[in-house]
This record gives sequence, C-alpha cells and structure tokens, in this order.
Amino acid sequence: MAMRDVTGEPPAVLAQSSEDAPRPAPRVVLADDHPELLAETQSLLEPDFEVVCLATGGAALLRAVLEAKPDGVVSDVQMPGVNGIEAGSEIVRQGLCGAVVMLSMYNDPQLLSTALEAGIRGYVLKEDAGEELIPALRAVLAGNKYFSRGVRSALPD
Amino acid sequence: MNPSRMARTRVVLADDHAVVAQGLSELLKDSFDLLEVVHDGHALLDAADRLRPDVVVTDISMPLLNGLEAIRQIRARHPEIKIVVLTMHADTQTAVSAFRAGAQGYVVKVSPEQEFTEAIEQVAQGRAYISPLVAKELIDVLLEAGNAGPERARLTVRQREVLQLIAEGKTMKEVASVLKISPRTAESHKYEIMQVLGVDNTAALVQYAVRAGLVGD
Repeated sequence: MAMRDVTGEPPAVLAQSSEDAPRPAPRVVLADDHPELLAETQSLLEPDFEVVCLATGGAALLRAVLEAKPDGVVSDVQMPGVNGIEAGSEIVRQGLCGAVVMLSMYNDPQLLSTALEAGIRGYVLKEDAGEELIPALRAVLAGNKYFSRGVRSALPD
Repeated sequence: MNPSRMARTRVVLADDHAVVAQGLSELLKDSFDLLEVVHDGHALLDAADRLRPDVVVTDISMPLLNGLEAIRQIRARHPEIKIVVLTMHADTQTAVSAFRAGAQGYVVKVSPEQEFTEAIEQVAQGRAYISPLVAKELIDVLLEAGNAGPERARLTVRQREVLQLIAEGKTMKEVASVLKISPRTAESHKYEIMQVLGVDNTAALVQYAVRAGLVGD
C-alpha cells in the first residue's frame, strides 16, 4: 500500500511540469481497449493536455484515476469487463474526477442517457473526435456539458 | 560492518521525457547509485555495456530503439542486469510484452514514489515487481492461458468436455453417451475443435489435451 506524506498526498513518480507553459496542461487519463486507438487519442490530445496514464479496461481505468488524480478522463464506452460508462459513473460518483468524456463508436441513446444520469458531462462520437474531443474536454473541465455533432443530431429537441 | 560502506544498487535510467527523467533522477539519487540518465534506446544499450549496472529502469516508447527491443538485447548480452519498466501504460498487454522481453519489474508512472523505489529494491534482490494497477488483469491472463494451452485457443466448455473424453480414449459413441448428446453432435463438436486448434487428426487433439492439462500424461 502507498505511504502518504504529511499532506496526505502520495507524491507521484511522474511530477507535473510547470516550467514550460504559463499554465500547466491539464492532466488526463485515457482508456480504450484498442491500443492503437489509445495512441491515436493520445497524439490528438498532446500537447494541449498532458496524458499521464493509459488504460485498456474499466477496472484499470478506475485504479489509474485513483493513483493519478487527473483533471480529466477520456474513455471508450465499449470495453470488455467493466465498460467505460460503468467506470466513468464510478469515477464521478466517488468524486475522483468531474471532467469525464465518453468516446463512443455508436450513437446509442440508451448509453447516452445512462451516462448523463451518472453525471458524465461529455459524450463524443469517435468520428467527431478529431475536431471535437479537445473542445469537449475543455468544456467539461470548465464545468459544462458537451455533446459532439453526431450526438447532438440524435438528441430530442 | 560499517553500513555506510555497503554498496548501493547501481542504476541506469532511460526516459525520453526530460522533465520526467529529471524528477526520477532526484528520487533515485536518494536511495541508489544513479550512474547515468539516457534518453533513447541506443544510448541505453551503450550505457548498459559500458557501466554494467545492477538495475536498468526504462520507459518503453523511446526514439531510435524502443524500450522493449533494448530490454531484449540487454538481457541477451548481460543476463545479470535486472530491468524495471516504468511506463504510463496501465495495461496487461504492455506488461506481458515487457515481461516476455525479459523485464523483472513493471511500474506505472502515476503510482506513488515508494512503489518505484520498492520495485527497484525487489528486483535488485532477484525478485519481481508487478504494479497493482495491472496485477489483477495479469492474473486473469495467466489463468486463461493455463486453460487454453500454448496455442491460446478458445474452446467452449462443451468443447473442452468433448476434448477431454476423446483424450481419455473414448469413441464418439461413448462421448455422446457420457454427455447425453447424439453421436452426430459429438462428431460435429470434434470437427469444430479440430478447426479451432488447427489440427487434422485425433493424435494431435490428444497431444493438445495433455499439454493443456485436461488429462494427465
């Protein structure tokens, strides 16, 4: 088990950089069960964001978020075992991270409403990710909701 | 014996992110003898050859020569050098690749500092270290591999039942009787199993069953 120092925070091996930019890039954890897609998302988000950990499943994502205490989370929805929405819901519920964005291949109204009910504020289709993932992350980091084009077109009203 | 004269573990560190390398160096210097910090796979190989450290701590993705390949080559040339992988990948696939390449330790970067030094100490003493972030799924992979055998084939429960009975020397008629299915169904199970395993004769099926631990040999 990790030992804690006097402030109660365990010092992380990967310390946050503050020397380059006036404001440090938000730290994010990514999850996707396809490693190539993980790498793609990582290169999309860097250097605007600092990707601190990559997970390939919901359970690993949860543990990674517990250790990393990131500013934001981007997770694939469809993953075997614990899926992205289950993990994302738990992350929000436990107050581990408020800025969670789901990345989904499909526009499933059921999954979308489950995510929303769980307090997940961002939902982006993979086909929209190139243009909208960064705005989505910025929006949820600012406390707002964000749905990508492909999701918005399917929403009622 | 004077404790201050005890040799500290000699470590070489490889990471292509300057900031990360800097932070890790500070941490390492407290507990270990940090010989050199390098930023690519070629430089790592060179440092290993020149300095013969006790432990190499390395990231996986690095320019010129990636970490996994560097690990393989270090293990081939200097099998006494221990290796800890330090990575942002909290996933089993990467961990499996790292251990297969010859690493003894796997630490995920977002973990507390104490894990990092613990991993190096354990590995220096000849033990292994697996990050708690990947340990659980790694166990699942191990258990699955035990069931499936070297070919990592995926057989259904029913197919494994049929396979076991075949390996015990039963005829298709006997297999059908034991499992309470029709002989025709038993035959088609056998056919499917052979498809999945990529074999075309019963002897090979039996061999597989023995290797997979379904029957004793």
